[in-house]
Amino acid sequence: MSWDRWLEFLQMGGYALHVWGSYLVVPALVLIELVLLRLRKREILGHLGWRRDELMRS
Amino acid sequence: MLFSENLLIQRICRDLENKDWHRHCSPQGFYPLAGALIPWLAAAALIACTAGLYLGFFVAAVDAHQGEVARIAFIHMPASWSSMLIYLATAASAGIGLAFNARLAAMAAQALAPTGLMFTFLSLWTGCLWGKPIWGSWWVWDLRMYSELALACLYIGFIGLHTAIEDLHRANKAGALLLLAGVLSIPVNFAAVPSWTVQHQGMLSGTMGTTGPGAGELASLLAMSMGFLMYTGAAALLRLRCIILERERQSDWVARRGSGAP
Repeated sequence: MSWDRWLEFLQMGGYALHVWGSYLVVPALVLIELVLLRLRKREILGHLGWRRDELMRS
Repeated sequence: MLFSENLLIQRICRDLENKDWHRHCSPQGFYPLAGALIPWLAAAALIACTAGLYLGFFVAAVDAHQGEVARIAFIHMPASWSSMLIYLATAASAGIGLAFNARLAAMAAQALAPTGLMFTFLSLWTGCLWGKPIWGSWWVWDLRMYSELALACLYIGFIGLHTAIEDLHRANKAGALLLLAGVLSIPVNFAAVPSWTVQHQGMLSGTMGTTGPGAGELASLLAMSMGFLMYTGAAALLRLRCIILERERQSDWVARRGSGAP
């Protein structure tokens, strides 16, 4: 695809804000959820006193 | 990693043959099984979503009336379906937990709800972004949108209620009753479009032009939905494993696992 076609693609027929605002919020939410889950896991494993290699294993 | 997964699969097959499968339905038995399932579900979600995005942007036709903004459909509709399907799964798990006093099922309801809430939010968010250019308004008080908002409230209510009640047994019970009562919002959502709605289009009328969605559009919707559900599986299992450890931290098997014994 040429540069102009890419630009046209990004503009989404003038609805760039609406289309990309919808699509980009998905990875943002997924990232937030995964970070929260990672923190939760780290907390409980720390509470249990499990070591890092056990963290990898479980 | 692969070796231990092979051992796990062999063990599950043996237990299935011996009709001993229920041992994997206890928190202790399910913990390693969930851990083995997560990478597969995550990989499947990634593949399905990549395929869905490709189909949605490069194969699916642009809607004749709405133009490119109709591409929001490939996020909005799978997110809405997922939010409702996850709600049904959450309510069913909580119901099973209530009826049979099954600990793992009650935990699963708790593991599913936050991801369900995430997809409900996504459905509302993308709906607003789609409504603004097409209807001229971010929000319309239409029955279908009422019911999606109600779904968000039910998820928040369930999570909040469960957090607020300290006694675990009572928290499970109250949460399950709320979820089961709220199941009514799902048929309302589906009945809304043909009978009541003034604004919100049905999938086969209006959203995708006069002829309805073609093969490319349907394939994208299907792939995205599968991807969202696979992701939900992975995220819920990750959360379930945390919940299992939090609840069972006093038990022997957690202590044995932590000390490195098999």
